[in-house]
Amino acid sequence: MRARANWLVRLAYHLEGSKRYRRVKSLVRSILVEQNSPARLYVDGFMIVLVLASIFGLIYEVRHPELDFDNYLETFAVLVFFLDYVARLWVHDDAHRIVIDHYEQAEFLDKPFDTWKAIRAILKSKWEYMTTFMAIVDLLAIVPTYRPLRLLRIFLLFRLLKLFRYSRSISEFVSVLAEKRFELTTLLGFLGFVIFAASTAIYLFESHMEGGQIETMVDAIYWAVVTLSTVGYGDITPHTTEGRVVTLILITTGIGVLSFFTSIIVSAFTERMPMVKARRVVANLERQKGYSVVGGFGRVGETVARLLDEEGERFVIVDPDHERIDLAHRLGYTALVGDLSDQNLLSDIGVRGRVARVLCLTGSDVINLYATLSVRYLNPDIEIVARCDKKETERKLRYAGATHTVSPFRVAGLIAAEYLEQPVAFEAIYGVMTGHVSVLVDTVPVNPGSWLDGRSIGEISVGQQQLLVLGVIAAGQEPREHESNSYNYCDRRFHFRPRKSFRLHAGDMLVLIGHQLSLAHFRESVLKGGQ
Amino acid sequence: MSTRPKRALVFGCNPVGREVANQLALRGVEVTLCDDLPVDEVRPGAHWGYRRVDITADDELRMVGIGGDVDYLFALFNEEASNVFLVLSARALASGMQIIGLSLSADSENKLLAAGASNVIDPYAISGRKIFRVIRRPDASQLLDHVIFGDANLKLAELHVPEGTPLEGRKLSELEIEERFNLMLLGIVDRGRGNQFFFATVGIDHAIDSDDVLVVIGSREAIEALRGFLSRGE
Repeated sequence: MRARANWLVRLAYHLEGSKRYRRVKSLVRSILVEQNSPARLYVDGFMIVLVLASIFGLIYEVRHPELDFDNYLETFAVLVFFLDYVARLWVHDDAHRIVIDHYEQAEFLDKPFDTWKAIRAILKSKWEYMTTFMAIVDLLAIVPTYRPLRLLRIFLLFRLLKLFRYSRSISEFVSVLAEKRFELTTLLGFLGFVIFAASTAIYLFESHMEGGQIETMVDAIYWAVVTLSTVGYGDITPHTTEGRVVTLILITTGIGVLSFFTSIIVSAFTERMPMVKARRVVANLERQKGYSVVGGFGRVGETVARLLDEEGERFVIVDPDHERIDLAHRLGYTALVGDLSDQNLLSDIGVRGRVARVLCLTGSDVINLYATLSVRYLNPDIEIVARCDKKETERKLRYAGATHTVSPFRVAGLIAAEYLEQPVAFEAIYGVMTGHVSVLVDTVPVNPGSWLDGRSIGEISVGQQQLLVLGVIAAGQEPREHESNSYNYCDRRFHFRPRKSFRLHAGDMLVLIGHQLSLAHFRESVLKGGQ
Repeated sequence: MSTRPKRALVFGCNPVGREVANQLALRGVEVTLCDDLPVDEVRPGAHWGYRRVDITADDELRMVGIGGDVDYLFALFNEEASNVFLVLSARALASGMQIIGLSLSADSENKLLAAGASNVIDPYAISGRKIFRVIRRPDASQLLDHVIFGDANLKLAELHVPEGTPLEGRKLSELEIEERFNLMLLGIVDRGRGNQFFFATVGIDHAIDSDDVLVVIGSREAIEALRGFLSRGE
């Protein structure tokens, strides 16, 4: 028996093949469901306003039942909520995939295709969604439109619960509470028991009393809750000795329960605060592009962060040590507690796309290597600078995918050797390298069409601005006219001390030495066209 | 100038110490690595020896040559306190010796200088700067490394103006050193103006005196030519 393709299967294949259907569906999904889509921000904002407006409309209507305006708003809101509900149900899963899977399975096993079984599977999957907490809230927000049922109107307040869906801070709050589910349910069970016992006791003792205030079980429960919560309105008070003893016990228990409850919530928040903060940082990063990730906030990381900050570069610091992250926060940097080898963290902070470069600068070669490898695995094109303390690690880091490696100890060794040979030159260049003096070696690119393009060294008059032209890194390998002396430098040509007649071409790079103010001034004047 | 090789003591048997010892030995300095570890626990380097020294005992410090024929001392312990202690002890024993300390935290530099270090190296600050340059100014960074650490055709060099130079009192502007030798003058220590280093960018027209120091960048030949010029004046 061959599996026969009926209308359902044909429809499923049609949908699977339709580009438009898939495009629309992924669009809807990106608007409603995906965490990081830019459109979601606006959709969520709109929904929050709509929910609040419909609730305020409800409040307003209590005193002004004659206004029609409210009805329109209500209809509109319900319509939007309904569409929202249906759309979410739609994008929750791919129903046609289920049909296709069933059909292909049947074909493979050479059995007849059971249409009802497929439909049941679809319904089951949809039902799973419909019974989630948020889906029920969504439904409750639409249902009470049938006005004659006055009691149901209270359910309109459930629309406020819809806010949970649209506001990240509220959902964070909920997730913090959810983490303490066990403690809270235990406490709630205990609370239920105490209230039940106390209200039963007071009912038994007081309900038959002459002049007693407790007449029904509802009174008793109301009294028990008011007393337990230490609110104690005093509208219902016990009159018998037995009743008073129950009250005493209930009050004592109430204080205990309340403080227990408070401590659970407080501890949940203190435990989760770093995570909540980290998530904030990540959420802020989601809107940015081209920033650096500084992994490890030790001495090296600190220096790099300070320099990047001075330059106005955006960056985020990642370090597993809370104290260091606190220090980074105090210095006003964006920082989060985490481990650079954690794949989830890496993709959260955008290593797959938005990050321009990752710096692995911890004091451990092992961690740097592992982090380099993890980052390279996620993004084959990203720039990675890694610190290595041992000479042997350098090669391994390159192999793992580091674009550049820097070894503090090797630098120290070279510097020390240089110092012995030429102390004065050392002082000068060490000052330049550590930033102790304000003289810098800097490059100024010659962009096509910029003021520098096509001008000769003599014309740009750097001497007046107290700048020295160390040389020009030329765009091409070919020799230039009036060449003085030049060297091969990587795959380009470095023209040392070019003559006044040396003409700059687009793509060249001027290497200048000078005071940082002169350099800044020069860059500015290049932008302004030589003024 | 004596032809005797310079002697250096490197205190601190750690990655920095070993690296410094290697680099110094490569440049012909006689290096001894010192630490308080037993001799058989230290993997010796190819070009330097190891001595076990207790830095708290002045006798032992004297025995390794401090106050004697040692020219340079590197205090490269991982503990700031040990470095300061060593610098102080060594300075007391040998007032003229060059002492270079390792700065591990931001404020240890001042302590080391106060204790008598002639200079302080901060590998982390340099590395931080370097990383910054690598990512923000990759070209300048590479060029600087090539020039400073001398694996390119260009070299950074300092030239001391010898005693009795014929150029005594001549102005830099009239000598036109840069044009004549195709060099770049980075700066000068002008003894007429104290012991400070002046970058050439400042634009002061210095007069040459004996014992001045010129810091230049150029090819090896050009540097040698200038050296000859400074002593012979032609």
